[in-house]
Amino acid sequence: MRSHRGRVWTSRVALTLATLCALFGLGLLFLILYDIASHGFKSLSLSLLTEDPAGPMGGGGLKGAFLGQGLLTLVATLVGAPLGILAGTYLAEYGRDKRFAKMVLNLCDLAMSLPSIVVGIFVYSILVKPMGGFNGWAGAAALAIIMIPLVTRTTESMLAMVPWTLREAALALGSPYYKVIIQIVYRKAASGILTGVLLAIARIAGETAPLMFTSFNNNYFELNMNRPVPSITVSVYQYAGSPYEAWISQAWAAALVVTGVVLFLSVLGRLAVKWRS
Amino acid sequence: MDKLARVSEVSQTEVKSEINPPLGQGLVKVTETIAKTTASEPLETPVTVEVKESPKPEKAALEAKPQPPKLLTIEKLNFYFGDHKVLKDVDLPILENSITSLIGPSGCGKTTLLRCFNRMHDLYPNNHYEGKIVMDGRNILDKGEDLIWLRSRLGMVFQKPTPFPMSVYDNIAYGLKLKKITNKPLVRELVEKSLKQANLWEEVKDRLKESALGLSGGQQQRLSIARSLAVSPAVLLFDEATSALDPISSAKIEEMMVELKKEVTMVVVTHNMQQAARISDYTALMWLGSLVEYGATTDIFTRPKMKMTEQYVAGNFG
Ligand SMILES: Nc1ncnc2c1ncn2[C@@H]1O[C@H](COP(=O)(O)OP(=O)(O)O)[C@@H](O)[C@H]1O
Ligand SMILES: [Mg+2]
Repeated sequence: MRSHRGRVWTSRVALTLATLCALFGLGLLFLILYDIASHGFKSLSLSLLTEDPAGPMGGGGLKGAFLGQGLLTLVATLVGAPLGILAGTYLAEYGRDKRFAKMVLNLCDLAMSLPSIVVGIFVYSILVKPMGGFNGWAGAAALAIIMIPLVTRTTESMLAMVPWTLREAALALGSPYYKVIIQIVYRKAASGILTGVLLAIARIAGETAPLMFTSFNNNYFELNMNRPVPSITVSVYQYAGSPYEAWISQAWAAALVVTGVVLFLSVLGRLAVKWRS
Repeated sequence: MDKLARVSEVSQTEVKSEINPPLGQGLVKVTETIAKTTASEPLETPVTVEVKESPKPEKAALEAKPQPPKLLTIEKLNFYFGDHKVLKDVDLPILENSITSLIGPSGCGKTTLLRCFNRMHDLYPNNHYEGKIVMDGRNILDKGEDLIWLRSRLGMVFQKPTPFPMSVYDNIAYGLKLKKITNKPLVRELVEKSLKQANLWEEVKDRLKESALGLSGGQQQRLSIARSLAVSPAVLLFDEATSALDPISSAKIEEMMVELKKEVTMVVVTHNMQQAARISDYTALMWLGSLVEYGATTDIFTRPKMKMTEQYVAGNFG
C-alpha cells in the first residue's frame, strides 16, 4: 500500500487538474460572452429592433428577423409543447411498465442528442421540396421536432415524481383516471412541466441550422408563414459572413440580443427548478 | 366525558387480556401445511395451529347482545396477484355502524383485503378475485360493477396523508364536483359539515382558501377523511391511517372515528393492537392470507378461541 503522503499528493494533483479543466471550460464560456458583449454593445441600438434592413452602408435594423424568429418559436411551441406534454403523459401514466413506452423513452433520449442540422435536412425533404420552396411552416416544424423530445422527457419525469398514492386517493373518491390526471396530477406537476417547456423554448430560440434549410431568411418584413420567414439566427449567420462592416457589427448586436434572451430563459427555468425543491 | 370513560375501560381490557383465558374443554389439533407464500418469507415447516373450542357460557352472552345488521359480507374470497394467491377463503361480515379492525403480522394480506372492498386492485393488470363480497344483495366483485359508483360508496384513507394540490376548500369540494353537486351554498354547507365531522373545522375555518399542502400531517390526514366523508360514503376504509402520525394527532383521529360510527361503517387496518382494542367493536385476525378468528373485540382480546389469536394479541409473535 502506498503511503498516506503519496495518496494525498495524487489526490492534490488530480484535484488541481480537474479544477484547471473546469476553469478552462468556464473561461472559454466567459470569453465568448465577453466577446459578444463587447462587440455587441458597441452597435446595439433601438433601431436594430424597430427598423427594416437597410443597405450594407449602414443604418436600418432587423425588426423583421426578430419578429420572424418570435413567430417561428411561438408556432413551434404551440405545436411542440402540447404534443410533448401528451406524449410524456402517455409514457408516465398509461405506458408505465409497457415495453413500447420504454422504447419510446429511449428513442426520445436519442432524438434529444440528434444534431439539429439533421432535423433541418429532414424537414427540407418533407416540407420544403414538396411545397416548392422555403417557408415558415417548415421552419416552425423543424423547431417543433427539436422541442418535442425535450418536453416529452421532462413531462414524463415530472409526472413520474408525483406520488402514486395521490392518484389512488383521487381514484378512491370515484374519479375517472383522465380526470385524476388533468385535475390532480397535472396540477401537482405543473411548475415542473412549465419549466421543461421554458428550457425547451430557450433551446430552440437560438437554433440556426434547422432554419437555414426550412424557413431560410428574408430581407423583407414577412410574417406570412407560406413564404420564407426572416429569423435572427440566420440573419446573424449571413451578416457575419458578409464583407460589410455595418452588417458585421449588426450581426454582433443581434447575437448579443439572442444570447441575452436564451440566457434569461435558461436561468429562469433553472431557478424555477430550484424554487420547486 | 365519555371518551375518558371509554379509554379507562379499554385499559382494563388490556390488562385482562394478559391473563390467560380459561381453558376450553377440548383441544383440537389442526395441522395445516401452508405453501410458501413469498420468496422473502419462506415457510419451511408445516404449521401447527391449536384450536380451542370456546367455553359455552360466553357464547351465550355474546348472542344476548343484539348485533347490528350486516352491511357487507365477504364469502369465500380468494385474491391473486398474478399467480400469487394472497387471500385464501376469507369469510367475514362487516356490521353496520361499527368499527371492524383487521389485525395481523405484516404481509398477511390486510391491505390486500381492504383494497378488495373498493376494487383498487382493478387499477393494475393481472389481478383477480374469486368469491363474493355482498352488499345490498349484490356481489360487488362482479365484472359489471360500476367502479366509480362503488368507490364513492366506499371511501378510503391511506397511510400517508394525500392532500390534493389545491385549497382546503377545493380538496373537500373535489368529490362533490365529481358527483355533479355544484350548487354553491350546498357545497359550502357540505364542506363545513364534513370538516366538522373530521374534527378539523375549528382549525381550518379561517384558511379554507389556503393550500392544503400547508397543513400539518395530522391535519392533512383529517382533511383526507373529510374529503371522503363529503361524498357521504356508506363505508370508510382505513389503511394504517394513523401509523405515520404523532400520538396526539392519532388520538384526535381515533376520537373522531368513534364519533363517526353514527354515520358510517368503518374497516380499519392497524398494526397497533392497543388502537384496535380502543376503537373497534369487532376484530379480525389474519395470518398468511387466511382469517384466523373474527369476533367482538373484547372477546378477541380477552377470551380468544384460537391459541394463535391469544399469542398474537399478547404480542408473542408478529
Ligand atoms: N402489488 C403486489 N403484487 C404482488 N404481491 C403483492 C402486491 N402487494 C402485496 N403483495 C403481497 O401480498 C401479501 C400481502 O400483502 P399486504 O396485503 O400488503 O399485507 P399487509 O397489509 O397485511 O402487511 C404480501 O405477501 C405481499 O408481498
Ligand atoms: Mg398493509
